[in-house]
Amino acid sequence: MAQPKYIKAYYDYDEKLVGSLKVLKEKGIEILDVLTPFPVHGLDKLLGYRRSWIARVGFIGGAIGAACGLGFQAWVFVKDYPLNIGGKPFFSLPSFIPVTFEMTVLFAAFAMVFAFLIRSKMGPGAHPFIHDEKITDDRFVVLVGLKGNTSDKNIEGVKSVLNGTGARGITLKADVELSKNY
Amino acid sequence: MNTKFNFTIRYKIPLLILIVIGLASVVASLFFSHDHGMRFWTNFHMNTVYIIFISLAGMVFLAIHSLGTSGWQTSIQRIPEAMAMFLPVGLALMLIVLIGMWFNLHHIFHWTHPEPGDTILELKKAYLNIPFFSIRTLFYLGGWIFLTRWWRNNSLRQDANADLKYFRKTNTIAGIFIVFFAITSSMAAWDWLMSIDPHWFSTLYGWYVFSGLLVSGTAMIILIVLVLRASGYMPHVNKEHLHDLGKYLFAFSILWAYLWFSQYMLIWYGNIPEETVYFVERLEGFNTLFFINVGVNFFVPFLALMTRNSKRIPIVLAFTAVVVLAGHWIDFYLMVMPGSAGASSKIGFIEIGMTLGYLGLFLWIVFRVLAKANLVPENHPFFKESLEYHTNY
Repeated sequence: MAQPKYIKAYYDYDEKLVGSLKVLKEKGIEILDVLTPFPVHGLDKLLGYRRSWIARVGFIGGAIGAACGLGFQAWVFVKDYPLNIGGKPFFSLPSFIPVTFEMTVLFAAFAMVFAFLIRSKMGPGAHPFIHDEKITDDRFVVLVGLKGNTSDKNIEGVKSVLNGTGARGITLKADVELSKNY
Repeated sequence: MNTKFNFTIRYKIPLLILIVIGLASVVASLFFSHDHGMRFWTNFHMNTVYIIFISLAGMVFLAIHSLGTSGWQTSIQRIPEAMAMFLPVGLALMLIVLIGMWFNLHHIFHWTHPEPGDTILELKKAYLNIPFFSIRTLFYLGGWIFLTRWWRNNSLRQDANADLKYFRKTNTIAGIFIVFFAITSSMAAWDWLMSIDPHWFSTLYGWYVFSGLLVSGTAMIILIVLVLRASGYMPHVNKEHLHDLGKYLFAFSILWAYLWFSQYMLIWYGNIPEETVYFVERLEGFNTLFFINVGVNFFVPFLALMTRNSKRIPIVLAFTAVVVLAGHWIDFYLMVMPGSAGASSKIGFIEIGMTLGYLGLFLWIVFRVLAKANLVPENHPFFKESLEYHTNY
């Protein structure tokens, strides 16, 4: 068996999870990830996550969509296939606005969805690794890192801290599964 | 947490100066311009309607949140409440417009002096006549004043008594108000603004004015909150609350732009002379203002408040709120002036002075009402939730 690289700790309640994370942070124990069945209030702040950059992707996508939508219509109606519609000028901005708007929304949405799928390695062809079926239902999991120190003494120390925080089950994991997922 | 607002000389003097500027502009417009007081009446009517809608937006804000059982707004609740308390003054100002109408002092509304043989206005006379117009005006304002007073009294009673029955009652009042407001806001927009161009009509007009009311009301709430915060009151109002107010300003600006464009595009596309006359008038005589209106009221809040951070920086929020308030003043100007004063209308010292006077009067009343009660409704069941509130996106 390969050397254990991280520890999985299970919790039954979100309050216990949050309390445990505070203790772990205090003791300087590395938290690799937290898996929860629903969004837990204040978790982002506790784990020190930076704000997502997905909004910027949305803005860029939207800007590209607006430019494409407006540009394509202008090209079609002015250059490629000019049509006289009700005597209005070929370049009639008001009639281009609804399509431009729709293209902005479409491109922004697609950009964000694909950026999210790519970044989180999801989508078609991906083989997500689920640590435990129960985390999709009612179980909370904390993945605790060992910082490369895999001596029995260190592992026992971390385990006792986790036990003290009310973890229900604690398992050691080798790096095989980690590399699959992260 | 018992904080009371002191309406001290520090606030009174600037507001008094604004009111004096306003009065001076009124005098100047009445005695030094040779247009039979037309410049006075059109500006008076326009500013009165604008300020009535802003103060009404305070009650709309409260009613929406009460019906949605939201909690975060509780900590700033007293500000929209105080804004709504301006409505009786609005009624007094509107009465002056009505008196001018009865005594034939102005012709803001073309339908009060129809030319003989104008069959369209003859047919509309069943609805557009002075007695019925006055009754409707009194009915709208009377209903709004009654409901806002009811709300305010209920809210103040809760300050003295933590009983939950007052909180439950707010939902009833809010429900009645929303239904009444949904009908009367549209009708008030037709009567006070759309009937200035009586030959023209737009079925979207009520919504369009309503969205403008939401934007300018939110901008006013933001400004008053920021002024109070800057002078050390309401320290519990933090970035989270500002963020949510900023979201409203952002979203309602887009709503307004959406309705503005919907109205414009359908008329432009249909190209029927009876309908396009409205925009032809504005594009020919008021070209610059017409484009400033769309540009300022949509693009400035849209770009300035797009990111999360900008909604949380007070100075950005204050800047956007001021721009939006000025922008919607231009919007009202474009709704009122082309049909009433026509080519003779302009924006000069009199217009700006009268608007400043209105602003001073409005803020005077709002601050006076704020000083009368505790600045926070501490017995409100959601008050603690409002203090703990934080928002992510």
